[in-house]
Amino acid sequence: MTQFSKSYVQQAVQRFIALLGLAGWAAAAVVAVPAQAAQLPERQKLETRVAQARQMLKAAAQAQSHAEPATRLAQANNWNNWPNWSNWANWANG
Amino acid sequence: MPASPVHWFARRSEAHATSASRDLLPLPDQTRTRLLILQPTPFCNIDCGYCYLPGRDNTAKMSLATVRLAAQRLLDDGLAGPSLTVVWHAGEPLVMPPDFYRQAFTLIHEVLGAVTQVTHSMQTNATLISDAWCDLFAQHSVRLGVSVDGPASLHDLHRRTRAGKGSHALVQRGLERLRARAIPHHAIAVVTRATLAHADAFADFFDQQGIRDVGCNFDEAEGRHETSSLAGREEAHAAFLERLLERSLEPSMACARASGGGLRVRELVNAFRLIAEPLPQYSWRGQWWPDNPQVMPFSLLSVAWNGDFSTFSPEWLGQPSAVFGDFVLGNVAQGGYLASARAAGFQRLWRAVAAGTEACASRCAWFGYCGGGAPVNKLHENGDLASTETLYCRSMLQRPLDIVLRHIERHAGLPAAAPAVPGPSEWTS
Repeated sequence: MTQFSKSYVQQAVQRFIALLGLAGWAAAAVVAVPAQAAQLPERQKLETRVAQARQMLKAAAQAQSHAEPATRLAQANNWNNWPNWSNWANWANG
Repeated sequence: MPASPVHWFARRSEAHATSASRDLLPLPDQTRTRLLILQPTPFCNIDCGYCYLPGRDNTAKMSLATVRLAAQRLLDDGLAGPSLTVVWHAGEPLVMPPDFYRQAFTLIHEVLGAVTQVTHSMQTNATLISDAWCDLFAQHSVRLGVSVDGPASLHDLHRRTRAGKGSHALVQRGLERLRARAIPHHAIAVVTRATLAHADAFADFFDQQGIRDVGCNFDEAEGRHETSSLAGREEAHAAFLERLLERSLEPSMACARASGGGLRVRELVNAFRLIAEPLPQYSWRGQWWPDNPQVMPFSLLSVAWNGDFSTFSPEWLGQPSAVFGDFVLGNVAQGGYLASARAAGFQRLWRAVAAGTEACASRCAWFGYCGGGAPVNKLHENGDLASTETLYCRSMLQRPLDIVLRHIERHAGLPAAAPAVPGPSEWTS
């Protein structure tokens, strides 16, 4: 009986550990969501602001085509022809 | 069959099936090199107070054989896409003779010209510009960036000759020569605490010089420059950027009258671009990530004068690190770029950089507009590549984006938003 109990307890502990491992693996799989999916309140607020601003820039660009002189905002929107700075020497201390 | 780097890269999934490569962290899909930074010499003829470069007393020079190998490895590894920018930097490039570049440009064209449109770029302190240099710039359409911090009162605080004198007069002479020869150029300025109260003088200087495009770096804490003067002064930096935005949109500026547009400050323009269109995405491990070449292996490649190469943040070239083997991943004389990806040194660095990107993805609100920050700043500022926000993030991306957003919101008559990026020490400074 004692031997049975020990064996039974050992098997139960082993099963429990195995289950823990399985649960951990499953949890890790659930956590591995797409990079953009982690929704933070600050991120959602920022995305809302950017989406709103994008609409305003589009509206300014459309208004520019119908009006002279160009508004300051439309003028800034024309900065899209800026050279691609992200590609190069933006790291150096001068 | 021996696996060449190209073979290994092209057939990554097969490589992953072997036990030896199972632990390798895979590269992003469609990895290509956009920027090849070549260090013609580590030497610099001036002595800026905020410079992070090690070995800038070293007059060693890159050989043409190393130039050819740096390009050949790129071709052999299949890293050369349809376009590539080669930047000659990490030391003052004009201490080498113009003929070195003529031969180097020819060599690179011979190796890569059939598959890649190569643009050469130089970042120079402008003190050595002569007509011979202007000939080279014009003949090869070199994209030229001049390092100048604004008027002499700001510039000469930090950018000094080796004799300890201000270098502004020499830079002015170089700028005059560029103007006389109609050589297109832009400027990169290093903003320090002294600059913050002088936004108008700063903008006026570039306007008077006829320089329309200005990048505003700041004195980052990197290498031997251990502390940034912007730390604790982020509110003042915000005010500086806001004033630059106002000045940028003034039609009265000389460059606005001449070109139909005003001063263009790189950080503010980047912010407008991020608002106008989302960052491109790249695929890695079955997910889509916002584009950030500093966290994408081999997207930026730095090759030192002696052929040692590194990737991720270009500032790492030549920096000491016991943990990351001085950030040297290999040498072009001994092997290809992609072959280094199988080495423990690369994998250690790549895992750490990727952990930092994943941390940003899960914790930082700005991740979608940045894609994981700058590894070099994470390491130097936070002491941990797996960390997230830095002063660099706030100063170069978050604050400019917030300022432009608030400008647009004000323009539309929306309630004024409080600054979203005050900085951690703002209220104690």
